[in-house]
Amino acid sequence: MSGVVERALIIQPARRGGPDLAWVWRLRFIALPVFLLLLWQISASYGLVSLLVLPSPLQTWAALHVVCTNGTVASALEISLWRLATGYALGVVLAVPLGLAFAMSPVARKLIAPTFWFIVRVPPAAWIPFLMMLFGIGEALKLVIIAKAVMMPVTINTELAIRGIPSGWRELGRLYRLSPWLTLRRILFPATILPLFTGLRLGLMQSWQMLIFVELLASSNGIGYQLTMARQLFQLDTMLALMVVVGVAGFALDRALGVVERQLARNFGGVA
Amino acid sequence: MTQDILTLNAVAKHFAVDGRKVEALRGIDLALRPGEFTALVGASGCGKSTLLRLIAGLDAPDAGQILLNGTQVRGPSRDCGLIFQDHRLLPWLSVLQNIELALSGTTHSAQARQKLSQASLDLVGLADFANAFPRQLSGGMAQRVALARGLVNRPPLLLLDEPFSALDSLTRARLQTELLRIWAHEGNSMLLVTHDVEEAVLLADRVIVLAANPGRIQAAVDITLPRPRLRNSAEVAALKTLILQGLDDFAEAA
Amino acid sequence: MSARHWHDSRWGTLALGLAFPAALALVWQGAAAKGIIDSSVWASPWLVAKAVATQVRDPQFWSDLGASLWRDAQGTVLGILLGLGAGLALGRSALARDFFGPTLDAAKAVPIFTWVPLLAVWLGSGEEGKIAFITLVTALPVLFNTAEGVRSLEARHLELIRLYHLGRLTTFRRVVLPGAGPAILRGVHQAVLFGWLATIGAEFLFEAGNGMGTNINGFKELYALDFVVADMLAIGLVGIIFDLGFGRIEKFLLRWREDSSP
Ligand SMILES: Nc1ncnc2c1ncn2[C@@H]1O[C@H](COP(=O)(O)OP(=O)(O)OP(=O)(O)O)[C@@H](O)[C@H]1O
Ligand SMILES: [Mg+2]
Repeated sequence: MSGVVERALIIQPARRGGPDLAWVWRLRFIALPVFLLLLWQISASYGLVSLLVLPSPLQTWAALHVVCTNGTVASALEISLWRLATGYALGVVLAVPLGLAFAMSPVARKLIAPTFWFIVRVPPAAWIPFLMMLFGIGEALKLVIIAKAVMMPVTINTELAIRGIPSGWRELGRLYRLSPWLTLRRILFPATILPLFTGLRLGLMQSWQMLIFVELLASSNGIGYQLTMARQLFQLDTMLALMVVVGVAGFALDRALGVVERQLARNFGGVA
Repeated sequence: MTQDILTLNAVAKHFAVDGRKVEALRGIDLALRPGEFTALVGASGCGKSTLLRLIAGLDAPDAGQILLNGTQVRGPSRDCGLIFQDHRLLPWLSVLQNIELALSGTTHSAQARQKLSQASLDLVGLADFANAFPRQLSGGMAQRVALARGLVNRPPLLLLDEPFSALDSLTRARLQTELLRIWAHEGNSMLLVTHDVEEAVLLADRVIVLAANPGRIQAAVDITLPRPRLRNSAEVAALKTLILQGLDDFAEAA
Repeated sequence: MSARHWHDSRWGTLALGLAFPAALALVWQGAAAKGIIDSSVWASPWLVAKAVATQVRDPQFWSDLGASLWRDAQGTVLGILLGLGAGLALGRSALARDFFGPTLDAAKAVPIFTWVPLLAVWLGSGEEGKIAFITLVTALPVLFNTAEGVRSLEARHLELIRLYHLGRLTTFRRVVLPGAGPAILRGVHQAVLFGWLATIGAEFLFEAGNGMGTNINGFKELYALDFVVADMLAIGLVGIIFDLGFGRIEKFLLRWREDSSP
């Protein structure tokens, strides 16, 4: 059965008479997931893989339905997203001034950047025992881990954004003696907003990663914790369902920022 | 005798390039009278752009003095406009907004600014592109917008850094005529940097030849031909040869 | 044009870079000495220094470090090879891009750690699971950077290839590989860094075996913060060495490129 679908998708729509299959071709990006899904279901139905190792898509779907309706997902996501928001905000509030300082003062950069760099290069996993000893497995641990994950991309991109303003544009402001406000509005802001936002977006994705990591490892609630629970209880269908939830949530977050980014690029991108 | 609009006394500027000291300019003496059209020619890299940046107040000289209307230049001023070698339009502003930028801080009303900008744009033949963005223009069109921006606030002294270098010869000829018309109308001073000796001879009252390494004034040739000058006239050709020979002699001696 | 400052010299830069951590250590030591913080919980730089000295002489530390590095090397090499192959294919073939691109793009947003429980169930919580995880983590940046590098270069150089009728091999050797080189190296650089993060992470998330993750966790159980910090310094140092070391290799391989610094 999968073969038929595959062939229908791969073959370019025939233009000589017959039914117009152009819409099928346009859906080709979905071929891979569909193919994998079918393979998965078939191997489950024919018992090629033990259901204990890999529950079938239908089982997963049923489990997804359960966790979505019994409130597990809603309450876990609420906790996780709130955690994400606070840790992210903390990281951004620390990182943007740091990036500004790095860009504007070579002394500040040489003073702080090496230490910052070292702290960033220590893997989060190595931070966790340290932070656990100081803060226990409470909220502080997670906030620090998430904030740290945000800080690297945001700091770097803030610095690059400021340094990346072509000197010619700043000169233009000087030549026409624009007021500081007008310089900010007409030159500095439009020139930096795009790289700055790239940093914010990368930072969000990093912090989303670290949120799941820290919840898998050291948490008693949240979506990552639910995932660990399901694994320990060998409820593999629930586990797969929760993986889908995490994936979809991350995808949605990323796409939302992607939309904003595209709009910014349209307004301030210029040459591109 | 009227006061010079611009006076340079022993102006020098050097840069550190790759740890070495590069003398971009040495001992530049120059005086521009009000209403004079001066052209500056010289080989690539001899310091022409650097000189204009010093006059515009974007950089400070290492030695010497630059006086604009008798007062020392300490930063950009309204009395001196500059058209950059690169068009330097802001990509996020429309063509008209880019031109209006030059009028910010003036007492004109928003409406007046728009009208002035539009008029300036008409002048360079791009009336229909007011709402286009720089990315939608060709290189030559962008340079014309830059020209419009440089002209819009009518500075008593306008510095032009190879404003026509990216244009086809027809457009170039048209804009050269246009520039002369504006100059005659405004009575301002022009300092035009160009690679094109013919352009210098056609437009200027005086052509200054800059030599490289270190950048210094090699010769100044007064052009007394009456205007309008004809591109193919024998006098223009003779002056052109004279200046080109001067450049050549120097190149051989170096 | 800008004047040289005292801190532009190599020694000035080094001194400034060390001043900040030195100041932090002093404050920490002072606070511990004065009893502002409880040194039995917070340790002190002096205790950390002693812990470092102890660890350096402990064969267990070296065997754990070796185990982690070996694990890292296996997973990373595998990941880079897989990522490179897939990335080249994806970059060169518009058809492959059409079919796989969107799915892979979407997969980027799924936290990589989400796969850990599944890998643990499938491959076991031992060595295979860990290495598979490291492979996954390192393959992705190589894949995406390579594909992007090859694809963006296609746009710029396609005409050149056609104009000079370059053969497949020449195209690959003279245009594709050097053209996409910077992007590929960027991906490999990321992979090297991520590989180390993933190695330590895997040792936490999968069942305990040998390795630095186990080492550091053991000291946590003993409530020995000085030894935990000593291990952190060691793990961080490895990360820095990877970063700087690969930076050098990258610079060497890309020396043909004109310096893009202003
Ligand atoms: N910001 C700078 N830093 C270092 N060196 C510079 C800088 N600006 C100019 N130079 C050097 O000064 C010299 C003169 O440069 P300038 O741009 O004034 O030349 P130019 O005569 O305008 O050349 P072209 O006709 O090609 O535009 C060159 O040797 C250049 O390398
Ligand atoms: Mg120049």
